[in-house]
Amino acid sequence: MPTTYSNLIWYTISGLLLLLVQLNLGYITIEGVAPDLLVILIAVIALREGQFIGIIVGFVLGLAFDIISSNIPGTNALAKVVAGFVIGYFYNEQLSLQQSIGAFRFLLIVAFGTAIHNLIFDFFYVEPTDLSLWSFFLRSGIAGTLYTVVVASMVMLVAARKKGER
Amino acid sequence: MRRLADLLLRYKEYALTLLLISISLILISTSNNQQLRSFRTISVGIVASVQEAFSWVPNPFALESENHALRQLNKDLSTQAMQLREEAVKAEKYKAMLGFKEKTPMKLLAAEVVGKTIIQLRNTATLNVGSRDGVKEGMPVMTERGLVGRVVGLNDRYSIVQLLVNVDTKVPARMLGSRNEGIVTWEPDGVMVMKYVPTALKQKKGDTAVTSSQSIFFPENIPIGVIADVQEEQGTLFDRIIIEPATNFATFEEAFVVLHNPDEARLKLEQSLIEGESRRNGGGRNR
Repeated sequence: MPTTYSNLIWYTISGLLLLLVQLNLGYITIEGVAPDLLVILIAVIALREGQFIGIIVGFVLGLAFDIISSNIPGTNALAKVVAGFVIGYFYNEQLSLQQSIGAFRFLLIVAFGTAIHNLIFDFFYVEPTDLSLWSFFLRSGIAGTLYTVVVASMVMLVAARKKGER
Repeated sequence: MRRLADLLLRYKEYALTLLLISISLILISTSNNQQLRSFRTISVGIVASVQEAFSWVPNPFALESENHALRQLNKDLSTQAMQLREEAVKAEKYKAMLGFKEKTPMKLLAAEVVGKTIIQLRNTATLNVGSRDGVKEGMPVMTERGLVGRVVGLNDRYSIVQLLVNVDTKVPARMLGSRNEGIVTWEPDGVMVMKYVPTALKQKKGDTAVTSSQSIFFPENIPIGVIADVQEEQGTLFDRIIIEPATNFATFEEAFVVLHNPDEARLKLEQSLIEGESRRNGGGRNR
């Protein structure tokens, strides 16, 4: 499906909104773990527009989040570029948006992409004296992945419902 | 070029990913955040392992930079060695000067040569001491090796020395071995000569010429040089004795001003005698 001008506007607005929401997720944070809404948006765009656009969106959203969240510049950008690249592999031209994200397959793709994203991202924040990389990933990476999948399931349900209506 | 563009287009996702990953890593590496220390530790460990595994492969860029650094080091060390050699020579010279100053009964003032000429007929040297240091016109100047000349002009900070290698210089001298006396001068052909020594008096090569007690300005027994050759002067009763100067005028850089004041009474007496003589001679001619 070719990218249109209106799509681009929608993606930009969605990205900006989600950046703001992502910054203020304190009220739904459980034990310091929060879902990554940006990865879900990247997954939606990558599955709709393809791998190339997914990578670019991943980098732009990641860099923007690094800047506004005072994270180490480049960490989110790197993790989200790889997430966009991985998720983009599952892009299928034959499927509509509703078909792409309105199925369990979408949850698996988000889980896979988020896990890789968290693995890369956590790598920069692990304290050498605190925990091993693996135990750190298990604590915040897996938990974060599961939480993101839970939120992604809502997106999937909405898409599935739209798909059913048609 | 076109094939490369085709290749990039074909694998544009991979190329873009690599490019964006590189940009991200550059951003991360330029960050000075404390949280990055584990990342840096692990990265350095990985890079070091890879480097160690491939250390046997020669790296022309590293070799070039190493070569450049070694060349620079070599240049620096050469300069340092040259400076040390110069310092050693100076130290040796100062040691000799200090030893001489301690041994000699003369009152000496150490000075540095700040300018000199040695290839003209009237050669002079400039010393960095002047009237405020106690220097007066007429004072002898010497090195630990021998006589250099006489102060002929000065201000409060500097003195001009008329060197022995100057056609205007005339020094009453004596041979240490034979005790024969004469006048040492510098001739326009660049040779130091002792004149007015009768041929009948035998001279020995290698004998040392020193200042004699005949001089008003120079104290006795300051070495001037050694006899290099004795030549008979045709049509006269005197020998022409070639003197090899004790001081190397080309290389001397430090000197002592001998704080020696001429005997005023003797000076006045001799000057009045000379003036009287010239008056008598002048009058004779007038008559």
